[in-house]
This record gives sequence, C-alpha cells and structure tokens, in this order.
Amino acid sequence: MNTRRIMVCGLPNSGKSTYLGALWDVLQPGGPPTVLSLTSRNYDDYAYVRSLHSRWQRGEIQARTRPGDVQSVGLDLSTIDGDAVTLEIPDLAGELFSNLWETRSCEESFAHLIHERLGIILFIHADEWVRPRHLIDDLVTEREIGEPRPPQPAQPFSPANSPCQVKLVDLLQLVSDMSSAPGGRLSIILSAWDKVADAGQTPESHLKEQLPLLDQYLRGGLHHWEVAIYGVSAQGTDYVSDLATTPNEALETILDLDHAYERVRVIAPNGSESHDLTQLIAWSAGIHP
Amino acid sequence: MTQIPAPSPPQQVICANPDCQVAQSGQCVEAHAEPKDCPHFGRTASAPVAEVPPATAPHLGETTAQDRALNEKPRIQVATGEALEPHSTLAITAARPTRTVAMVGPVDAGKTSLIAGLFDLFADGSVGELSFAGSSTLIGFERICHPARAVSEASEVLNDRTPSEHHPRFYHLCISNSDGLHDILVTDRSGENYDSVADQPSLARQHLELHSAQILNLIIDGADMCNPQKRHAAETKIQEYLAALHQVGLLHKGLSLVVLLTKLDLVEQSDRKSKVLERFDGIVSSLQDRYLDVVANVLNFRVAASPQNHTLPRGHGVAELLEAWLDQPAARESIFIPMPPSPVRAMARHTPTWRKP
Repeated sequence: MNTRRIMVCGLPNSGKSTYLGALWDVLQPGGPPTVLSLTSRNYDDYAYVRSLHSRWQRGEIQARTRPGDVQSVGLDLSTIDGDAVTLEIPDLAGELFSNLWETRSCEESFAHLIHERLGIILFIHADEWVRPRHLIDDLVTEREIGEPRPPQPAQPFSPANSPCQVKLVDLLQLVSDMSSAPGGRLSIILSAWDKVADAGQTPESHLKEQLPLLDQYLRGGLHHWEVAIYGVSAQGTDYVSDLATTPNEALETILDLDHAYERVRVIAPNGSESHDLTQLIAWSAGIHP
Repeated sequence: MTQIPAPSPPQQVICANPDCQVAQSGQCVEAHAEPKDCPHFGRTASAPVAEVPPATAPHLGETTAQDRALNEKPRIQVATGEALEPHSTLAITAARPTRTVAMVGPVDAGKTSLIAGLFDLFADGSVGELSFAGSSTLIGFERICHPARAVSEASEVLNDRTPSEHHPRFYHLCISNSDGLHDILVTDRSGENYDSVADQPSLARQHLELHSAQILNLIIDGADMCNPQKRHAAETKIQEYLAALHQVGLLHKGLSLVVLLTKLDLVEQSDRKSKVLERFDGIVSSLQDRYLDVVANVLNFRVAASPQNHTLPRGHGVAELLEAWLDQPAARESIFIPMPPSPVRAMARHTPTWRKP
C-alpha cells in the first residue's frame, strides 16, 4: 500500500496532540461523515494514538510531548473513491520547532522527516500568540503617571522572546529550504477556535488580523505555499488535569454530549462547518482536491 | 486439613515513566484513577515513553538525563538567520535581481533603528500594496528590534551601537507587489567608518557595499541638527563624505542619492524645528546643485523610525522611503568581493586597493 507522511508542526501547546486524540474518535465506527475512513488496522501500532484518545475522551489535558520522543500515528485510510493510503503522522514536540528558531540546529532525524514530508499541517493556537509591546508606549505611560523608570540597561536579546508570527515564518522558510520540493500544500489549523469564534471572523480574516506578517508571507511569499486555513475546536472547551478535583460545568456539558465527536468543530476555508477532522489531512496529502 | 498456600511474593509494580512514583504511593503521576489505565503502567523504564505529565515536565531550558542523551545525537545546523556577511549575499543576488541599499551616516544617527523600523512596519501589516514575502535575516532583524520592545525593560529606547567592523552587515527583505518579488539588501555599517572616509577618501573604495549599491542613503541626525553646537558639523560631514566618494569615482548615474533626516520626533519637539527643517531643505538643494549631473537623482525624506515620544507614530516616513527604493531599478550583481586589506593609514597610499572590475 502507498504510504505517505504528513508533517504536523507547531510551537509548544498549539494543540497537535489534542487533534490526534480527537481524530481517532472521529474515525471510529459510528463516527460522523468524513472524507477519509479507517479501512483496516494493518498499521498494527495504535498504543500512542489510543493514549491520546483516552485523555481526550475523559476531558483531560494532553500531557506534554517530550522532544526526544518521535511517536507516530499510523492510519490505514481510504477515500470515498476507494483509493487506499497509509498515512503516517509523526507527533513532534513543539520544542523541536521552537528550538529550531532558538538554537538554529536540529537532529538529523528531524531534518530527514522534513525532507520526506508530503504535506504540512501547521497548528497555531487561536488566542495564545504574543504580539510585542513597544518600549516607548510603556515609558510614556510611566512618565504620564509620574513614575518614570529608574535608569537601567536593556536586557540582552533572546530569540525565545520573539513574536510568534516571526518564529512561524522562519519555521516555514526552513521547512521549505530543507524539503525535497519547496512549498506545497500547507493546512493552517487555528486550534481552540471555540475561544475566538464569537468574534464572528473567518479563520482567514482572524489570521490576517492577528498574525499579519505570517499572513503576508503565506499570500505572496518566496516559497509559493498552497494554503488552506481551518478553524478547529477539537475539545469544545478547556480540559482539566483532573475533573474530580477541578469541577468544570462547561466541560461536564461537553462530556454529556451523545457522541464524543460532537465536541469537534471544523470550519473549512469555504465556511462550511462539520466534525470531519480528516478533510484537512486529505487536502494536505493531496488526496482531496 | 486444609493446606494454607504459601503467600506469593508481592508483584513488583513498574511504570515506564521514570517520574512516576506509583510503586511507592499507588498514585499514577498522570492522574489516572486506575493506574492500569495509564499507557506507561506495567512497562519497564526502557520501553518507549511518549509523554511527560505537565506537573512534572521539566521547564524549557532545564536539562534532564534524557535530554543530555539526546544532545549526543547527530545534529545539523540551519541558516543562522543573522545579518549576512558580504559573501553570504550571493545566494540572494544570484537568485533574483536585487536592490542594494547602503546606509551611511555618523555614529548614533539612527541607521540601525531605521532598518529595524522597516521590518517592524511589516509586522503590523502590508504597506500600501507592498507585502512581506520573506527574509534570510529574521534573527538579525529581531536582534535590532529588541531595544525598542518592552521586553528589553530598558529605561530608554536606545539601539546598540553597530560594531566598527571591516565590512558591513546586510539585512535581507523580500517584498511582493503586483509586479512580483523584490529583494532588498540593506547595509549597516558603523558610523566610525563614515567619519574615517572624510579623513582619508581612499578608504571609501574599501566600503564594499558602495560598489554595488543602487541607492545610497545619507543620514542626517535630526537630534544633531537641533543642537547649535553640532548642526554645522552634521552639514559639513555629509558634504565631505560625498566629496570623498566623488573623488574615488563611486558616484555614478546608476546610483540614487537619498538624503534622510532621522529622529523627526525630536525635531518636532524642538523650539528650533522651523530652522532645522529649513536648513535640511537647504542641504538637499545644495546636494542637488552639486551632484544631480553625476548621479541618477537626489531624493529626500524625513523619518521617525523609533520615536522617543508620541509626537509621531512609529515608522513615520519609512513606508514612503521604501517605496522610493523600489522605484529604483534592481541589478543582478554579486557583491561578493575579496576582503580588502586592513586600512593602515600610514601605508594606505602604497597598498593596492580593490577596484570594481
């Protein structure tokens, strides 16, 4: 069978593992209509994705993926047309991507994954990005309230403090440079979409407003990405470490839904809404137009 | 008589997660109500460990034994993202026609702030029909943007002084508009080098960026122009510098001169504002009279890239400057040049210097 590898990227806590846990639920018998279906269990190693799924089902926060553990989720899938494909999705720790920015180096095995990838899914937390404040604004405010700052030198520059959008542009540039073919299909997932959905924006307009540098790069950048932007709420609400010790009414409502997959909301680039977490994989892999 | 079976030895409780104390406490560190539900339970520590619970996960920067082991795996270096050395610009100039934009001016005149302001402009969105399309020097830009950001925690907005190096640093921006992609290499060089050219005009030949630049920005420090003790020197220096370039043949019809008044926010606040602006116009007029026949054109702009107050918005005038740069034709020309010998003043006149072929 034809095996294709999808690269799932994102800075720490951008929702990659949560997505994979929810994906396993959506693929189970009795799940919602999906572009891709699970046809067999030939891959024969589902322990990792089942552990993610188990936490997701219980409404518990996913544990942090450790940088050294490259666990893969393998799925034997088929399209509506009956085309069969095995997808391998390595669940890489967000630190691997932030370290690339900060240390300008990576393990050879990581570079190999990038080189071989077919499509890319980039996760960005919909409301946890950092836009820098300008020093002059703080200084003027302090002067105006009569509390000027005592003379002090600047803290040294640290790449870790750079804005999220600069790190993401750099990541995509490096991924493109390290790939066998630059550019290609890129799905952008704005995760935790439920937190920003009330603002009434589309995923595309939300990205443009919140991450303008990344938006410009994606639209007319050097590497000619073919981009689709999705809003994905894979949990429906905030999960907790332990529901028994942290009662949460919103989470209890979510857990009470008839089907667990009903927690999932996917806003596609065309504005349609569904529970289908496979559509963006199918598009990234070039299986779905 | 019923035989009482001998008690079996207690079964050893194991977990693959080295941070889990389930064997001692009976509690799963990942908070599973039933430890057997945990994917790590029952495995040996050598089994693959996929996750670290948030409560016990080491903070970023902390080193665990496993991290140390990982560090020993073969690694590869990626592009540094820092401002480029001259020879590193080849990959850019060879790929597409590029505009090389030289920045010259005295120490602390605002050259580096202007380059940082250029990048910062795009961080807030497109500039007219110009959009950010990429950069090979993102770390370099971030480094020079840092002093103007709140995270620097400084008591004033003050850019680090550009080190006095033999060669300039190049900052790369790729910009897109309806005409396609445009690569720009903006050079930054210590103001001390600028002063030394007035002392010894032949040193200008060693300023590599001037040989391939299509745009030469001459910076006039607005703060100096507001200071009666410094303003005459600011005027004289720019005239001396241009005379030196003309002397060694570095002014030509393929070059646009852009005269820039920086720190316009300080000029706006100064009680000498009208005099400063009038004098700046006078300098521009004088340069146009003298060099318009020698160079492609003489333009002028007033900018406040990183204001010290709220009289003007951040990046005031920078967008117009960028558009003017893009109006100048690009060139497909390498600026990789063998390093010239160190300028030893006493011997300089006897040392063969590099000339553009």
